[in-house]
Amino acid sequence: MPLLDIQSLVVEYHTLRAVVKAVDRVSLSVEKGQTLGLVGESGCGKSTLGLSAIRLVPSPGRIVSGSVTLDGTDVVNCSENEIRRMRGKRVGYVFQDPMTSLNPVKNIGAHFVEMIRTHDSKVSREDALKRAQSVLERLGILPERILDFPHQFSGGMRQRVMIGLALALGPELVVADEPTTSLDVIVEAQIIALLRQLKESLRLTLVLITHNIGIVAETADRVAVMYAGRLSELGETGSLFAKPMHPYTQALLKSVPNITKKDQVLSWIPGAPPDLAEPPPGCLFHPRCPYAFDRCRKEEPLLLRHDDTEVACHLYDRR
Amino acid sequence: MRGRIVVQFLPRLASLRKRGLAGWITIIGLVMVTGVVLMTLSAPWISPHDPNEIALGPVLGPPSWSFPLGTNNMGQDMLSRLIWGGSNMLQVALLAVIVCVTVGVPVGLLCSFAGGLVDKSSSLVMDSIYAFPGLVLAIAISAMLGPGVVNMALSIAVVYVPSYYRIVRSQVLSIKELPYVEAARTIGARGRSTLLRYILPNVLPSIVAVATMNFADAILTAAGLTFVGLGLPISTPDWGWDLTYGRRLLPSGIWWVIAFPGLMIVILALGFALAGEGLSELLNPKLEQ
Amino acid sequence: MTLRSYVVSRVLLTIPMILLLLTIVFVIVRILPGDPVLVHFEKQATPAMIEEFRRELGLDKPLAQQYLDYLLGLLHGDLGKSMADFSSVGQQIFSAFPATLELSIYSMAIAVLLGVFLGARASRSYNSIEDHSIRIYGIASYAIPVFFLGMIFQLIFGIWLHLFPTGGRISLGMEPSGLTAGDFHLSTGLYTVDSLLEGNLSEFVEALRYLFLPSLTLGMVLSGIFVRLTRSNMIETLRLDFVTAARARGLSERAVLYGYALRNAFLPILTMMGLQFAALLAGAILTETTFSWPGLGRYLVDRIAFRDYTAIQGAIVFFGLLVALVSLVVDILYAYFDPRIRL
Repeated sequence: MPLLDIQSLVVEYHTLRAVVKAVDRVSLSVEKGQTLGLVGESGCGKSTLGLSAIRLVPSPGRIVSGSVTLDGTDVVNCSENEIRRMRGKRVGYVFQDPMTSLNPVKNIGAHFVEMIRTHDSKVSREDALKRAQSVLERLGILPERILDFPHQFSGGMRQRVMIGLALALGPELVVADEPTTSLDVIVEAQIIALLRQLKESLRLTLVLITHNIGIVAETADRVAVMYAGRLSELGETGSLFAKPMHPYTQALLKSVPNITKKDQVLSWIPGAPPDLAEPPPGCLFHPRCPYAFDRCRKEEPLLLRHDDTEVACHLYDRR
Repeated sequence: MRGRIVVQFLPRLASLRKRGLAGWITIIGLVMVTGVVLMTLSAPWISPHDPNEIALGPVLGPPSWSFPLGTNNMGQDMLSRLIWGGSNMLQVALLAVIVCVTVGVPVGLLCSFAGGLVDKSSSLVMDSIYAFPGLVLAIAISAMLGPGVVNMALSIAVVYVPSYYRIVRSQVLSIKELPYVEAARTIGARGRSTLLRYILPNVLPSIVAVATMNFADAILTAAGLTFVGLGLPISTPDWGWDLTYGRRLLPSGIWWVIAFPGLMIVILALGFALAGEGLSELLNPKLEQ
Repeated sequence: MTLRSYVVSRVLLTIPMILLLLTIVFVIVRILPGDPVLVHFEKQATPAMIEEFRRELGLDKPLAQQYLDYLLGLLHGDLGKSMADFSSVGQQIFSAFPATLELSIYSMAIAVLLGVFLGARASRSYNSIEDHSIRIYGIASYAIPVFFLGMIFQLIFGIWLHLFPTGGRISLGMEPSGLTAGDFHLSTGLYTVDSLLEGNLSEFVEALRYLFLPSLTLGMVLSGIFVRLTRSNMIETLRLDFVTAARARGLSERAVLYGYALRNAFLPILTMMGLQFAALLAGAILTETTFSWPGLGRYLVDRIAFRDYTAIQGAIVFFGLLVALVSLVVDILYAYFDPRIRL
């Protein structure tokens, strides 16, 4: 049984203007010990999908239909108390910007103590602090800094604190939403290396959400590509990078500059992602797709399996 | 240029309705204020009796058919006094706001644009006045100047000038550093024209919002000054005066002498306050989505 | 910057402001048109009497000398002499001050508690009818003249329902005298505290009964700004990333609301309390007059009626110094609580 199993999930945002489908019938699953990379442009719904795993979609967003199952437990329909107990303990969440994700007026030790004692009120403050220190030490933060405030750390260290908070209670699943986007390249490399190391030593199941394909290439076992709220391609990392099937995936990979090639012409994808309040008919990517034909404009492509990869594109749909 | 600003402003007023709650609040506020102003302006025609004439009805008579709002201790008709009573307050408030704007805005513009010692010292003075309890300062000045519409307006004006100064200054400081102002200067625009053409139009919306709140404050302060005994001579009918005097009648359970004038003050002040709230939210929308 | 250096620099900054304040008051009273002495006497005195009067009050000296005397006197705590009977204005002010202090404390407490409670409720039921009505209350409570509200309360609760007294601070003979143990005597001037020190419960209850309407009036009028501050602060905080992150760690809604949202609103509320102190004093003047509350406000109003200008000046100076002191204390407290501001 997969650790995280999402089936036909639909998440809508009810704004004054319109109802926006941030996540439209997305199905994917992650096996224990695997790493899934979830990639896509900003606004494609990947963060919303991540938050759905712990039912924290911010209002006016709502999970409308579909299911999210964590190791057998129904996340969507369980009680408020049950989901609260799962957060932090069974699922660790790493957020994008550690400066705004940590409470500025609480020292980092207090963050840990509060979390640990929420889940087990019998733990004393001293024990909780000690546990925090040992977690942070493994992440490269000196124990004597436990009572320092978030603004006293550098960006990279703050992210380590966030990761520490996500791991402290020993969760089965860790969801990292753009963990390195707010960091510079060198620190980013360090954090990614750290994540890989933790993944192996703790045998974590990891969902890595990012718009940076490069990170996914070196860390993930499988990759899911999202576009405008829908899944466009899902497959093994190796095959996806070697032979991308969906035009969007191909364009994404092509737009990454290659450091070894000389005199490159940078390529990009023309056009812009669709306005989800008024989505185009048929395939959502067709306005920007170089291979679009008549059927693409009228009929929405279904996610179909080809060998190990799932792809939602009429080019591969021989029916 | 002034004509252009007005023309820019009018269509904004019309589109108020589309702006949701803030627009509605502004409209409701403006309607309330306009209602009171119209009532006051048309007093000579709609007032049933002469508000100053005594012994028109029974002394301290409760609301009745002939005197819908009752009569006071001198037999004066409260309804007529109500219709006439806003005039003093509105005059004082209008004068105060005019003085405030004509003094506070230029001073704010010039001092903050000049920068350096001028800016720092004027800020110190303005901050000191601003920190001081408004009513106390108004009381002090009013007590020294004596009664009268102009004097009252001046005391209120002094208290509120710092508010304009501060809002103008904060706008000027932020706009002064903006790239397009620097760009203008690099192509040789002189200080004065930079001020007028770039900074003033941007500062204007905030001034309007502050002025509206200023009206509300002025009305409440004027009422307060009257209550404390520093009001206008008794000859003119005035809501503040009726409130002040009517206080003595309370223990006998005579409520109508204070209730209606008080209500009118609330409506007027609330109208300005709502309009001011709505305007400031329209002009500085907070992203609440 | 350490807390200590911040305090020092802040105190140093206050000094020029206070000096400026005192100068402004001096200017207003002495230099504005109208000779205070002449107005005080109106038309009834002979030139000789006026001269004598001036000399007694030190008003015959050159203006510059008067200014220096004024400043030096203040350093000694001398606030001048009353025109009515040449008694010390300072004495009169200090005896009236505790009443105002007591009223202010209770009013501010009501304002903050009421404001925070309503603001928190409004932020939780965002965009609902409850939210909108609370927001309207926030604006309306500001627009109603405090003395009008006081009169309405007097009418309804005092005169029609006979529930609370409508004026005064306590009934005759029930003034608490504080703690007395042999030669040791402690009294704060605050009736609610003194009656408890004395151990007299009925005096305590009486003091509260008289305190209720005036502090409710002033508190309600001040609460509006706290409602709006709490509400907007909490709405913003509840949407912030670290709140979502806290929820992602399994914290309950209640822990998030009180531990995070309200805690973050705490500092702005504290600052606002300091900022509102000036408004509190202004409102106290009107409230005390309405309820015949024997405090500084009523003292000031009485002195105005008597055209006692030296006393008026003394009272206003006292108000100014009070406000400056409170804002200094609030700034220091703020720096203590928010580590960011010092760094």
